[in-house]
Amino acid sequence: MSRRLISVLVLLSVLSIIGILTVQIVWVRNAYTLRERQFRQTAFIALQEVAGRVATLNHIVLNRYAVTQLASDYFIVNTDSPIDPVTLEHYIQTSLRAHNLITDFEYGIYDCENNRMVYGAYVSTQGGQQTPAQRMLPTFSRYTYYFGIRFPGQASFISEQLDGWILSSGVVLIVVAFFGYTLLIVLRQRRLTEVQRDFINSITHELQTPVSTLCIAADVLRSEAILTQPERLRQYARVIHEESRRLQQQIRNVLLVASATHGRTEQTRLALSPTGVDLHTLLTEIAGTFQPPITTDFRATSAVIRADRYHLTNVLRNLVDNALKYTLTDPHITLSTRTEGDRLIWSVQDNGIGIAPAHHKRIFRQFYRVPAHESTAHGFGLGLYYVHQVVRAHGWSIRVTSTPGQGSCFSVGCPLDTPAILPKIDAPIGHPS
Amino acid sequence: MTPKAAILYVEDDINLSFVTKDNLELAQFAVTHCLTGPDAWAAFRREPFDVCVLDVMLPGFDGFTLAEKIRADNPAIPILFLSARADKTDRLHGLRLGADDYLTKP
Repeated sequence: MSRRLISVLVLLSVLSIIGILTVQIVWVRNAYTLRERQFRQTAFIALQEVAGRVATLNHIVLNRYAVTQLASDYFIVNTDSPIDPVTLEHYIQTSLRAHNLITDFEYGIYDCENNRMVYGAYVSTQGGQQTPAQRMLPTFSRYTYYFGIRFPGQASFISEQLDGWILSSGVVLIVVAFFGYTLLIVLRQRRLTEVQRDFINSITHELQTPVSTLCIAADVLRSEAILTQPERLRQYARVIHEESRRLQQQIRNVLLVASATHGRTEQTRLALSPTGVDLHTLLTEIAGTFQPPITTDFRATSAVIRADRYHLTNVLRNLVDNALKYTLTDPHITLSTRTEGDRLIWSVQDNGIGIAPAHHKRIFRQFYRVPAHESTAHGFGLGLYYVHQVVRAHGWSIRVTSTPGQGSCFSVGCPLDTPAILPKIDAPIGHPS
Repeated sequence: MTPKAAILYVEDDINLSFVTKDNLELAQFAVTHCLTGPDAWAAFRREPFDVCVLDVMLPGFDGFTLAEKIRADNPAIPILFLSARADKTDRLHGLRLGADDYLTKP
């Protein structure tokens, strides 16, 4: 499946999810608004009936519209006659129950002499117990005899009526979550496939090119004519030497990473053999093996650390190789040390093409290559992964500071070895056979 | 002796380009070798060539981009890809861009 098609499918899927969620939210909101309106209308009718019964009790004719809504959950009911609290509460309860409005309410009766609500009670549906009113209910200046009633549980009452909607919304959310998770897996799988393809391309290129060169060179050496051309023979011998060394190095790089990686979990399984290593001696030795010469800048007074000499040497060579590979003109590579508290910081600095900040963490991932650098130099995307594995296995830390166009600096921080536990200083670079 | 043809050969690997160029020259071809995409494009604009032999993975811009530029400039010149990448997608992509053939490195 092409990358474009997958992108279009992903985009359509995301739009579908957004669409489904939007429709669901709109439907739930509409249903809530509808239920709210129904509640209000039912409350109007029930309270109108209460007002009518109070009027009948007092032998008066009531105004047709006795109920006024002051807030979404608060109503004023005009009675045009004095109200007995006990009777009123009974009427209210009976009327609300008759209209199936079984929810908590609080009410207050207006005292026109004192201009305030004088009697109030909170009536709970949980056993119908009366408790004092929670707060002072607002008054209404247009009537003389009236009571106010508030439904504090209106929102939860309406929500209970929407149980089916909420359940269906939950199901939709679960389906959407599973769909999103599946989409995430597909995207991750696609990224892995791309990484795998890039790696195969890189490894094919890196291994096939020296093999091709060796094949052509071997064909030339098999010809009779080469025996009479010593200069050409010498050049072909040089090519064979360089390419076989290069092939050896490539295979070694892959094997090093294979040895540092444990199956799919990518957990380190480096078996370290730590000894006391004088980093200044090691850095000087390594600097001397590269062309052009590498500069050293040792500021640490002591640079003895506990490390696996073999892997540490590989790490240093890897970092210097990278520094040279990505410094296209006039390379200035510096190996330096300094002390920070009881830690030794050693670094490899170059004046190369640099790395954009967005890639600083990713470059230590397996097979990761900075996209902009792929055409600058070939590679497997394994070198810095190996470096990171070795650093992690030692319990050290690594940091990269880099600005595109201004070079990079890879700094490793490790604890200094103390003389009390210092074993004998290791011999110069030696690779295990 | 007049060369059989003038070849623009683009390959960023020094040793592979040395042995290939040496053998092509021995077979009486005039070879102009370039290491990068931009260098090859400059050489193509500067000199006349009879055939272009391009690697795919190149510094600057890759062989596919170079082939596209060359084909836009000269629809008739033979273009040959010589790459280590043997992927079917790469072959098809190269041929779709107008290459006459796509060979994998021996």
